[in-house]
Amino acid sequence: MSTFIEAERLSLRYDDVTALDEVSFTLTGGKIYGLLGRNGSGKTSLLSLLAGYRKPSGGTVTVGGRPVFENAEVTGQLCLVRGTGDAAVSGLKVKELLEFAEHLRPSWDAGYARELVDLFELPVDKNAGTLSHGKQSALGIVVGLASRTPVTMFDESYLGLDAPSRYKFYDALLAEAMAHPRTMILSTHLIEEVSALFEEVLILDDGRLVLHDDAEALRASGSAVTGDAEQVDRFVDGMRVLGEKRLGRTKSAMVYGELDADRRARAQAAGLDLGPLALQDLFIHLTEPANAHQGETP
Amino acid sequence: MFDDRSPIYRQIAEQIEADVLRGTLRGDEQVMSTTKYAAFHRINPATVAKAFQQLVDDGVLYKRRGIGMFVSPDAPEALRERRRKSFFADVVEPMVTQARTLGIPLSDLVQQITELSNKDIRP
Amino acid sequence: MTTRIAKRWPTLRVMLAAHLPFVAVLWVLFTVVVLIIAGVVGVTNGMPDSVVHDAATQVPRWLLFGLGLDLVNTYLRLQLAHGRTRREFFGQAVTHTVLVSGFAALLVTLCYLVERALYAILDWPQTLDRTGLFTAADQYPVIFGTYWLTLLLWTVAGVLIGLGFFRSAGHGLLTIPLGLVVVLPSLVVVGNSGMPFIGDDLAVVGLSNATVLGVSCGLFVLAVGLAWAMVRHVPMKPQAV
Repeated sequence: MSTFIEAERLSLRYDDVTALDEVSFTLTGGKIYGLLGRNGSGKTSLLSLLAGYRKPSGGTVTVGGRPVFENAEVTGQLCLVRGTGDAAVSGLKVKELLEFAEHLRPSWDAGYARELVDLFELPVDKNAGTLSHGKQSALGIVVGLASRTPVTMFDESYLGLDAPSRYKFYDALLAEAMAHPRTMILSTHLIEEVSALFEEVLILDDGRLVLHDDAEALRASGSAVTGDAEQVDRFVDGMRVLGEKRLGRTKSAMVYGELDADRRARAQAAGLDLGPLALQDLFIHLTEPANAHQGETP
Repeated sequence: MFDDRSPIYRQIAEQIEADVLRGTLRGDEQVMSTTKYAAFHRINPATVAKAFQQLVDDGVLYKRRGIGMFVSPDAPEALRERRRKSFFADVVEPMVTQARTLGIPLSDLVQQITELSNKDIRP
Repeated sequence: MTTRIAKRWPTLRVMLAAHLPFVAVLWVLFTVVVLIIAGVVGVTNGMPDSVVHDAATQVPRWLLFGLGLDLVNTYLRLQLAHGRTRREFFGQAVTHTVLVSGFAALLVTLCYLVERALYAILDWPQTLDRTGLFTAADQYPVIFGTYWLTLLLWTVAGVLIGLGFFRSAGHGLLTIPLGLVVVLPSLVVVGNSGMPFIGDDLAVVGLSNATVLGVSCGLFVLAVGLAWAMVRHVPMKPQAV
């Protein structure tokens, strides 16, 4: 099945809150996608719509051209693990939950699930509700990976995991993505830790999609321009400025957009210093409330 | 090892080029497969593939179908030649600009370089 | 690829596998306890009426109500988390309510049989202190049918209220009176309301069996319809941690 995911003016409103506001994008599939956003930016809402956990209030979301909500042919190809896992229902033992997954998921790989259970040292005879936060996350990770679904989504599935376990997760995910290529979407705000895994990145802010690009293109897109305030202002005129800092006559402006050789030469001529901007900084500036709409060119 | 401040594929390519220049990787030696490299460094395989492809395009690596990627026998020399060409633009020009800003006469600069190279030769 | 052909009705299989053994174990406990009570009452107060009847008209329906809640609380979330639809869940859950209540009704009917055997040994008459659709303790087909109907309505009421609360606290509160309406006939048919204030007087309302059956079936359909309206588009919120 094609895992071409298309969202068009996708919206989700709760009683009086707009969680997602006309979000549109296309994911061609077969890649690892990073979904970044601050708390409350709409990451969980978006993924819940992609997985059919919720019905859109407006717009459409399709996978392989078919609407997701209540469409068994499509939802069977999707797996979303939110936080510590929707499949980690308390009152049932880990073992029972994994058996349940095996019954319900035609694509479930029980052998692989056992490997992962050992990897994360999950106690199979324990009630899922009594597991530590981290172990519940690990259970969610096992369910997501062993489901082997063409589209697998993890919504902050690292909560409560210590650093070594998080790296076990990243390693397992990467190995799995290479051995059984499929669409994986990871939402996170531990950007520095995982961003090298992403092929494409989507950034949500306040329910809107502010950016969707190749991760590599993004790494080349942010620059910090530092120098004499007047010169900096002249140089960044017409560029998308994400943030500014000023100290005396010196100013530093964070700009978005790749700088060609011509611009670089101009910066050098004006005595301006051009520094790279890490993805993490780019994310912070893109989603900063005060700067969200400042300096944007129409 | 790799950071987020510039495209990772470029960092990978630079890393492999540096290995070739240092002799850590020799001509006709096989390099790690894309998947191994990706798993080892925790990097998206597409990013690694892009770096390897660029190295193939640049003649640093060559592909042997079904076996893997190898270092071109003439890669070390070619890389050295390329670095030589860009050396003046990358290193000398900024140095001269910097010296001018600081008010260091060019003659001082030349003298300093001569002294350094004599030191290198003497021991 | 390790694609396997999924068994049909996987959720129903899992729900039955969880609930039937549970019901069976509780039935054994229930039978033993009830017969001990019968023995104690018999020794201290002389020949009792059917103790099974007293207990069975009150206790099992609460268990089945609980199973109805459990269907939603445990299995709806798992179902959706594993890529199944609400429609699929609902079809299997409704089938499950019919099967599990039938199974429980069968076991309750067995209780009357076991008690009859015991009373026969002790030479006690197995009399009913209250009557509903059945008037004697050996009308087994009617006893089975009555309990099936009663327990089915209670299970489905559990599903309805469970779904209400799965949706939101507000919907949950709204479904409680609806659930009460659904189980009302059961107060008539077994002659034991088990409710404060209502008492057992409803049992004497002279309704024909056909009327009771018709009303019950109507209520079942109503409950299923309401539950479907509740579950059709229900959002699955993240679990509170």
